[in-house]
Amino acid sequence: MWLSLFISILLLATIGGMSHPSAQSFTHSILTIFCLLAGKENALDSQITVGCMILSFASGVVLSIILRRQSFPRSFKELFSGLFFVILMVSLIVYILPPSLPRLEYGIVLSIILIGMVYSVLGKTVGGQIMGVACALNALSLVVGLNGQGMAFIALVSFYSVFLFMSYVVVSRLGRF
Amino acid sequence: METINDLAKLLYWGCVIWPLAGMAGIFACEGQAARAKCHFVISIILIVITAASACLADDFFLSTVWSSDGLTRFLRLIIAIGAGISTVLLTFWAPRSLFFAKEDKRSLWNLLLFHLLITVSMLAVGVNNLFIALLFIVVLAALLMLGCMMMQGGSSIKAGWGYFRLVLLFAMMAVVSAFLLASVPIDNAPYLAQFSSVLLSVSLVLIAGLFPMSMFSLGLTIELPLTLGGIGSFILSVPTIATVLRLYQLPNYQPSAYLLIILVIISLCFVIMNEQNRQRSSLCLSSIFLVAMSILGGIFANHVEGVFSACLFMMALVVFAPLGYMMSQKQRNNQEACEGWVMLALSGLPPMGIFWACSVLFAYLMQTLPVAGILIIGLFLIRGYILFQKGRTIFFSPDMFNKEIQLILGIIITQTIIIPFVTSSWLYQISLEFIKHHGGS
Repeated sequence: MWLSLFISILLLATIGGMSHPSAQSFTHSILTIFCLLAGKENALDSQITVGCMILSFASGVVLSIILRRQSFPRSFKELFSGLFFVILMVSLIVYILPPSLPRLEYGIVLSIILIGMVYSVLGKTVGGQIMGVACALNALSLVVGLNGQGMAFIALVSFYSVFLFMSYVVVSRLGRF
Repeated sequence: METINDLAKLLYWGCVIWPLAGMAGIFACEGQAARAKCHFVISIILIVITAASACLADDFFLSTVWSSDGLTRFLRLIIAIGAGISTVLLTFWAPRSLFFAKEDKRSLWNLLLFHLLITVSMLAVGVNNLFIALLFIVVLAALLMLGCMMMQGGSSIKAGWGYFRLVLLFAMMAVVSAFLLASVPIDNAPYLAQFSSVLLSVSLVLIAGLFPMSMFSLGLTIELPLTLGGIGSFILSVPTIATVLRLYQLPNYQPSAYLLIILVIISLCFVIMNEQNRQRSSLCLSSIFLVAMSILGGIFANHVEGVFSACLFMMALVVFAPLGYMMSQKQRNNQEACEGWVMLALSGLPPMGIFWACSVLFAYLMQTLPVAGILIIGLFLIRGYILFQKGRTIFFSPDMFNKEIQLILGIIITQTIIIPFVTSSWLYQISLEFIKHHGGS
């Protein structure tokens, strides 16, 4: 119940966003932590859940520092395409997944990743592109944290670290564009 | 069936590792001296990596097809010994002047980056785990982006960043779909296995660069520096092919055969259409080609336990090698024919296995899916016709037999002549089993 609520708010935060990527990254990571907290009781491995929380928080802090001078406008076109994807993905996945799985949550997580992908590919500014990937990574940390797979956690940690390093490099080289 | 699995492993390691060694060494630098030197270093790295991979525990997330049994360990050891022999031969056989040539700073950077790429790619192949392989693939993309930053500026940095973002996003998608695939309950989820299989295979195919390269709207490889784009996409496709090949062995995995066959045919059409595009490296095209063929192989791998995927991989190499060499003859002036060397190295694969595999494979393809087989053969013919029309029929140049080329050819032969001898008895058994199970070819 709480997990569904928080995850829906996370989705809204992904679609809506804010004009300031620094604030959005921090908010997004905090919301991810709330989601993980809400689902912690049913998680397979609580240590990995805590690890994912720490990862998400740390990435939020680092990104809010890296992106503090960036800004990106979000057009109505992007908002509507995001909404369209959400409706499509959630309905498709709820139809496909069996009742034994948390269908709504999986649907929303997949749609967050897809929206992040769309925003990241279509984004005109570096800040917007980085935020798209960051949203998708937070959603992935939600999946890994609740399902608890050691190897997947290691992969997630390195995804985060490589991504943060590369976004720092890109902002320092392409930040003015 | 045990023998078939063994042969699949044998062919797999034979095809994946030697091309990497030959390619990296010959491609990296300008001039024969630097190429031979680079090959020497790469061989040493190969020894270390293969020895390390022999000790790694196999822990694929969902299945242990390429399990760490005696044969796999033996193969890795053999490859390490082969690399060692070639290193020793190179050291004593090569003219002394080859190893002491002046290099500028740029080619040193090239050398460093390519060594890193090869090492990461080798690790991704050696590690038998989906998540770790994805991790290495992402690191490869990041290294490519760093290479763009070190050597170029402006638009190529943007292209490198775009490439990295796409690879990272598709890797995430693959992780999520692997979780979905793991949670397939057998009795009450009719669509879940198909859905997650499609998601997983499509995201892996996209990582390998089938669509990012072929979509004109993205056009990433045009902006990437030519050498980096070519070698990057080529190396990136090696761990991806390894991952794709293993996917098809998972119990819950349901390959969406028709979708993937359509992808293969689209990519073949794309290769033919872009035959004349000078901006695209023929290496980029060949990597698309390899991925496409391995997908096709994977479809059939479900039926015959993986051996044909390896055979297809080799067939792609043997068909493409002389063509790539011919294409590089055209580009000799601006690319110094380095692609020709790569293709030459690739073509130094065990000849017996290739011809046998091609005939059996085509027979099998025509038997199970005649339309797809005819289409693919037709596309090959069109491609050959286009090449013939343009007068690119030179297989070997007149300066083919100087000392440096003899050296490289000697290394290729030394490493690859053992494998046909070892595999010949297996090949005979496989052909017997094939005829027994499928009624002759």
